Amino acid sequence: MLNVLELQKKLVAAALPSGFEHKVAEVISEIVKPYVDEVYTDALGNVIAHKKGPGKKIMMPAHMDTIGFMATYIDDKGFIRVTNIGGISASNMVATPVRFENGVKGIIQIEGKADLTSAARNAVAMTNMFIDIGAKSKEEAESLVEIGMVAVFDTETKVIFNDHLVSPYCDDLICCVSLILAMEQLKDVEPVNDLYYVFSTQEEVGLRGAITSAYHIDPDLGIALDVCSVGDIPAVSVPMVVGLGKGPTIKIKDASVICNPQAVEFLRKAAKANNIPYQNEILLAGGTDTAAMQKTRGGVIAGCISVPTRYIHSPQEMVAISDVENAAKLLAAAVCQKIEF
Amino acid sequence: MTFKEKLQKLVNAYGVSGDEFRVAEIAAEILKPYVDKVEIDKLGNVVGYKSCGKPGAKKLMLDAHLDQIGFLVTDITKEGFLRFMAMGVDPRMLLGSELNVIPKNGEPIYGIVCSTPPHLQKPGDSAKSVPIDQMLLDVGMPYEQVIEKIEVGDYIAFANDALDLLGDCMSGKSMDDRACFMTIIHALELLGDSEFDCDLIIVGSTKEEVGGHGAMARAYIDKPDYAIAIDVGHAKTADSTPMDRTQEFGGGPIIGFGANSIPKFARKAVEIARAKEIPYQVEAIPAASGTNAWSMQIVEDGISTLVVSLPLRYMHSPVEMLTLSDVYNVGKLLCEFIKSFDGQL
Amino acid sequence: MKELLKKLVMLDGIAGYEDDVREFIENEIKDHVDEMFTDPMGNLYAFKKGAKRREKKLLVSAHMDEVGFLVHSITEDGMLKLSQVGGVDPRVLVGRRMKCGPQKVNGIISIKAIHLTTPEERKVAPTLGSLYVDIGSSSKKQTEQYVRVGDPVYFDSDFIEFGDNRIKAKAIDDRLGCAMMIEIIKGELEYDTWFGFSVQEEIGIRGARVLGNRVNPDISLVLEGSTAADLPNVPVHSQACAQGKGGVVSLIDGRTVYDREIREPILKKADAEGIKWQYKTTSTGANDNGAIHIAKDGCMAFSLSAPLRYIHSAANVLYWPDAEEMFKLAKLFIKESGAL
Repeated sequence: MLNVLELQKKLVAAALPSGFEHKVAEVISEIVKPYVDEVYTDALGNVIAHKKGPGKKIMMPAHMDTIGFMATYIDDKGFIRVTNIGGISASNMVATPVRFENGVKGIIQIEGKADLTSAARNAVAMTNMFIDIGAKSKEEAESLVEIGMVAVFDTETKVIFNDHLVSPYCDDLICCVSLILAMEQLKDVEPVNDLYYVFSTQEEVGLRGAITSAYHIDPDLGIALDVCSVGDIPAVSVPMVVGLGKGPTIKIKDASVICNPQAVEFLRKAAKANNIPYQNEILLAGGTDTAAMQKTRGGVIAGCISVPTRYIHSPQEMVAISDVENAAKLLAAAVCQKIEF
Repeated sequence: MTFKEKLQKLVNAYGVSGDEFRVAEIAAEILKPYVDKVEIDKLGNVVGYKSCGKPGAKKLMLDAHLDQIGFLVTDITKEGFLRFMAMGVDPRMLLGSELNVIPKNGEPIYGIVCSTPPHLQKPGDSAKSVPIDQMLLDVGMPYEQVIEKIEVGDYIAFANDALDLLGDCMSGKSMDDRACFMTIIHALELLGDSEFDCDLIIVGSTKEEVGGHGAMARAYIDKPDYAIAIDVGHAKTADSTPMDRTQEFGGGPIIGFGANSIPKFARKAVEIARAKEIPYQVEAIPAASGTNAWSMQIVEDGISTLVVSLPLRYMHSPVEMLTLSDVYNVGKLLCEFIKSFDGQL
Repeated sequence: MKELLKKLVMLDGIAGYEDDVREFIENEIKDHVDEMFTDPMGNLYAFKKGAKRREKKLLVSAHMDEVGFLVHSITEDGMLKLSQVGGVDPRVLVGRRMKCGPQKVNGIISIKAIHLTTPEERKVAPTLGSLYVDIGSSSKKQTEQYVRVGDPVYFDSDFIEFGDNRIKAKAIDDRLGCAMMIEIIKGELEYDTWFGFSVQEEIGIRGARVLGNRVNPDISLVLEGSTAADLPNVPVHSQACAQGKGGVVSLIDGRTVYDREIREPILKKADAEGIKWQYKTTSTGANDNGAIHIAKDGCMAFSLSAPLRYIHSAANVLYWPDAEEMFKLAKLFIKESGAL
């Protein structure tokens, strides 16, 4: 079986923010080619891997874009001003190592006069942040970085105690890993349904890749793979029953979608029949590709399997590897079921 | 069943956004005698078709949503109490209120939202509103019994039935928007065997309260040329202010003017209301109407939309209040519109 | 083109009420297009053949609606209470002249005289809910003879040239884009091109969604007005764009991440031809591309704007040479995109 840590490292190395998925798209296309009949990309850069089968069409998106930054201005001293791509809490970015798409490294910091006391934290905006790449002048900076270039978190991917994986961008690369694991498991299995594995783009800025690819594929069922928050850490802002290491979740609702009961039942049936542990997820904040699929054309029955993740949208997110593997198992088992609705 | 009895049956039924199949069955039964055929689609939308019998006729969709606001179980405490989240409900009306948990199988389970006992309240507490994530639902059972019947993700809804008030006033849950589904029924009743010029598509839609996806899906599938979203509008209450978007209770159907309730369509409706002496009111809708018209208008090649509203007090409470004269007048306006509209604006 | 712009900004058209603007544009272009039609929302479509066919279909668009108001209610004294159609800072309304209803009756918005206020009161800006339009009527009944609930209310703002090549008017956002499209349609095209004059942009890029559905292009060019904050008290990196630096090219905004693939080759050519352009340094806001580029199965997007000061007020200010540079880049894009 493919190794979760190795796969995650490979994807993280190629990952870039929404709109710039071409590098990781190439890496993923190469990996998944042997598992399907055809792989192609569409107008928004989605990687669509199609395993032909009878039965109904199932679309399974995991998004390959990440949150990050784009250089918008280089000042007289060579400091780079950036805007965020996707949901970023500016005050959480202070002192984070970053890496531009051409390899140039730097640190993101905050203007001296910005107030980081707890009351003012939420008021800190990206306009108070800048990236220091060590350039001594505007000219030097301009020779290294161009306006419009994007940057990602430059932090480690590693396994720590109890098989917990710590990495940037578990959202949503760890689910891309899960999707790839499921594809490998189903490689030689006679398909019951017509399977469309989708590595979607621009989820972080509005589910845009899923919107257009769902329109194009026009599926009968959609099952997304994304991360969800947990309730098993100190100072959790919103109480949740979900915790790490207790299995993937079957999503009931998040802020963008109420999963169709048929989809929830479909996933629960597969979990129970195959003894795969799962948790019930109600996520009060956050949206996923599930919503994009559900609202396509004449409506699509849609659900989601989530990998519980701590510290989402921070430079170091954490998952339990067993959850990642079980998510893959659950998806693989589910799509081998006949669709009765 | 009389009209009022059908209205009561419909509003008393259960169907929170995302779980409308039960109320859809009842709505479909009520609609059946008035249309050529009726079906419930995979999303739970009720769709009825009534052909005008003229080839090349334009298609007119009349939509009212069947979903009601409600809650979801988010956690079960070790004492057997339930935590929940709300969709569209003002938390200030929940303390001490009576709710039903709707398990996947079996009968609804009654519960009361806990309120702090008086001797534990600190001075000033009773002036504060309790946030939802601190509320608990007491279903009167120990943990072991609760987990046999209830799961995280189960729906919860207001428990009360509709109530008669003075005159022809009624109060209950889900008047928004099932009372408007009944205005369509009244329109079809008045229409009888009269001639009309557009093929009618009647929709009892799902998930309006969470974004309007049910109606949007039907707009995509049925491709109407015209769509009227019949929803409830705020009627003045004793605590309204002049800048609130409110109309007169008992003042008749509210016809919207604006980008989402296009002026040509609205003017036609006003013309017909005047000609047939139906009391009506007008409101400005400067941007999003807050109804299914918003999601339907931009589906595929675009649809001409109109918003017609039923005045309702205390929207999104368990005691939403209407007057039947408004219900009948909305129905009358819809009927006259169907009869007069030749398919051209 | 300046004369054309003048005529366009003096027309009135808010979201849902764009008819006058559309009629004017129809008359201007009808003899220069091969196909022209409108849809149920009021978007105006035009297709013009060029010398060659395109491999990738191009849609060029601009929106016809401006920000304005609807009459929300009429007080017993005959004053009009307004609700806004599109984003307007209520502080730009005080002391303004307005045009009300289909008869364009004159009205004014003001607040009680300064002599009657306290220093405390003067610290708080009025909200839209506290403002009203006075048309000189003394009763609701009298007002209703001229204006009704639901009627549109517009800024009353003349087209004025002033200072160093500057123009003040309402609705330069986005009648300037419409003017450019009309000029291009009246000329010769190298490649077949679709043009869309959209509706309801200001209330949520609504018309553009249907535009995108119907035309379903491979590339979308949106011509817009962008907020220029090149004012003394604003740090350079927050200025978004500046007057005098040419047309504004978007990198990313609230609804679109723009495609490098089409942007880079075209900007290289622009540099070679000496066309002035600048990047937008902020990522807020959105335009019709937000809806067009994800309609149906999606397409690539490019947004080009004119730097406009005081956008969404009655007094937009444009530096005319920027419009000229933007126009050059727009024409270049339309031509070069045929080779992509």
